[in-house]
Amino acid sequence: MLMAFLSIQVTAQKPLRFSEPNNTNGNNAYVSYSKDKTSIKPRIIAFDKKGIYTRKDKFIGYTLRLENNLRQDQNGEIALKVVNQSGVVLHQDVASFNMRKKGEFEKNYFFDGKQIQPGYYTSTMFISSAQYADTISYTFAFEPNTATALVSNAPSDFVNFWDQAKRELYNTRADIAIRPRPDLFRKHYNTFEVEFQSTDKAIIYGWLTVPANKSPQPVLYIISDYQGELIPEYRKDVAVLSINTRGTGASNQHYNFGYDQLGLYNVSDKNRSYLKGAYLDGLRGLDVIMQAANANFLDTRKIVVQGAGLGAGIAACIGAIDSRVIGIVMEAPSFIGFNNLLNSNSQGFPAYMFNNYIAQRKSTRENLINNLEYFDPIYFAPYISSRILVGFSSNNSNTPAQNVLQFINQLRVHKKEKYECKNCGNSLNKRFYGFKETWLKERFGQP
Amino acid sequence: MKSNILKIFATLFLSISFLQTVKAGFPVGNGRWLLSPTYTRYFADGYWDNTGIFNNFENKGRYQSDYFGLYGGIGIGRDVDLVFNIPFVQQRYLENGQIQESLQAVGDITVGLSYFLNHFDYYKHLSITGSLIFPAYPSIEQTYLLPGFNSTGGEIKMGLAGTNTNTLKDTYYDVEAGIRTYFNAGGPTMFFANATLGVPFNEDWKLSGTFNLVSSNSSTGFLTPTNIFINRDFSYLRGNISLGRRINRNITWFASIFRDFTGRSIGQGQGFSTYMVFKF
Repeated sequence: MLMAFLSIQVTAQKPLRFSEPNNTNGNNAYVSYSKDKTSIKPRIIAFDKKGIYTRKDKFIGYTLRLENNLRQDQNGEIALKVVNQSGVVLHQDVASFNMRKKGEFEKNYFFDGKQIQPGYYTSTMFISSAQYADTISYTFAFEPNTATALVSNAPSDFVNFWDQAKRELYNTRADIAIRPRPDLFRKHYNTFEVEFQSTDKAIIYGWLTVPANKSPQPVLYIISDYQGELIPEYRKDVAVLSINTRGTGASNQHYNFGYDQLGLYNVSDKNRSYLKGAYLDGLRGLDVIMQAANANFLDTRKIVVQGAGLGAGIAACIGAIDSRVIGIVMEAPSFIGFNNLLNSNSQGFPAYMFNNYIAQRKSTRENLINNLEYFDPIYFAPYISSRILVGFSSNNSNTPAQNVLQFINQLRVHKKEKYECKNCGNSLNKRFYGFKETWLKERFGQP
Repeated sequence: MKSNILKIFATLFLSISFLQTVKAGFPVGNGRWLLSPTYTRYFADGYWDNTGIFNNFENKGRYQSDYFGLYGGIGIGRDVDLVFNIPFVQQRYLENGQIQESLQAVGDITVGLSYFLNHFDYYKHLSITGSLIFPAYPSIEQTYLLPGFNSTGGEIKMGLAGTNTNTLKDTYYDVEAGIRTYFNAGGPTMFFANATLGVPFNEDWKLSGTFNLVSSNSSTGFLTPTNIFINRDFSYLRGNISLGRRINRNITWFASIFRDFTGRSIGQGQGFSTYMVFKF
């Protein structure tokens, strides 16, 4: 892969020599010198504001601008590394810069559209001088629609597997208990602790909060992330059911595993794996809503399922399987696109957990993917008929953006909305959460 | 002299209509609609002359009006709202307790489109609203109590409304400024600005304060038999305090009091208002 770079150097000065501090105690010990992150102000000026390029774009890339905030000259280096979303390093180089006091330095980075493949790329620059050290990165997409068009077929018995899984859940006693918690008093709301039984004798816990005005309330059903415990959530004019799936919070009594062990529980057997159990825990949560509906004035015609991370995938599964759901919100989905995840060098989670498992020769990559595919949200996408909102970050180190886009491209539902957060890392920004509130009001029919 | 004073009455009605403009700013919501019926009692016992000096009306004079308005908004999309206002007013001028002049009529109907330029983080919204003004009353006989300038007109305004999420958390604000002009020789052209800050006490009660500023200018060289009685050159600053009570998720009731603090060529108005907001 070739990339052409054009460098424009604004200033050129002899480098200032960094002098070592005086040795005052006679022990030849150096005094540590911390870098000042305000001494240089870096900026990336992208050629395309949205960071999405196609073959028609004349210029693909960005300008790196450095501003010297010190009243002394600075010189240093820019170490560049470009990786694709599989974590493969495509290019590395080092460039030097010299800046007068209060001066500027600019360098353009161009990418050759004829040489790069469709996909997402992250360009990371480590900028260092005698006084400064920090990293800045830029993520962009090249022909993203082409990159996400190809998705391997779902397992041939995908539907049959889930039919049997639902039957297994149906044949498992639910023993749903909804206990008032007056000790968690909050004015205008009733708070309940929820407990029910799921498959493999797992006892699952959660919370139900209901506005105390005795009129039918729509329900927001929130599913926990991987070991991300949920606490009671209160919303005006909305009942909220929050479920901690097995291995999370109080639901970890039989699944008391560490963070990088829980996801590997029976991972080579799709019928007994942790993921299957977590998905079925989520499905059973709808039974809780149905049971609590009459006594607590829940409007079962207005149920929206929401999840973040692993919970997002479970929400997609519930939306695909159960027609009572009128909306799905997926926040920064993870455990998605297992084919890409396990074929990458990604150090994000859960990729490194599964790849370490493979590296320890506990399973082959092919065997692992063959089992994990039954829990890949991408294969639930075509069966989703309710409205859906998917929020994700373009440079999430745990989940490559193109994995999420593959899911979105598989959706057949007409009214789907995606929110792509530029350079938000592994989280989403305030604008997404503000938009989500607007979207929820539309789904619930609230002013 | 009396005619100059009485010209002021004609514009007092207009000043009431500006009270109703302070409702937009937040999006109605895609496919949703909002209706707000309003009642306002306004009265003035004196006026500011064109130098800003206050005078009482002669013979214990009092201008009084009862305003009934219906404001509405329909969310055409997430970014566009259709807004309208239909006013009806009963006006009286009394001296020594006796009615000297009276009029009741539908006033200027306003229809407009509000477009949201940016929702920022969806806790703050920037909008631009363009409206047309249609007089809904026929050519009327000579009277000092006119419901409007008897002319079509237009208005454009920018608004910034939002809810604070950090400083003054959960308070809300609505700031707008704009221009209104009437399509006839002599205008007038009005510049106006409104600023509201609201504080919710809890889920049911909220208190808000508003300042309204209006400045109207006209080249009054073009006078006709129908416009001769209308004062087009005036300004005022008004303060308003409003208390709101949420009835349920669809209905909120408000009660407010207002008073003019300063002005020029206009009555010193004060009064109270009550209105409901229905959202569906």
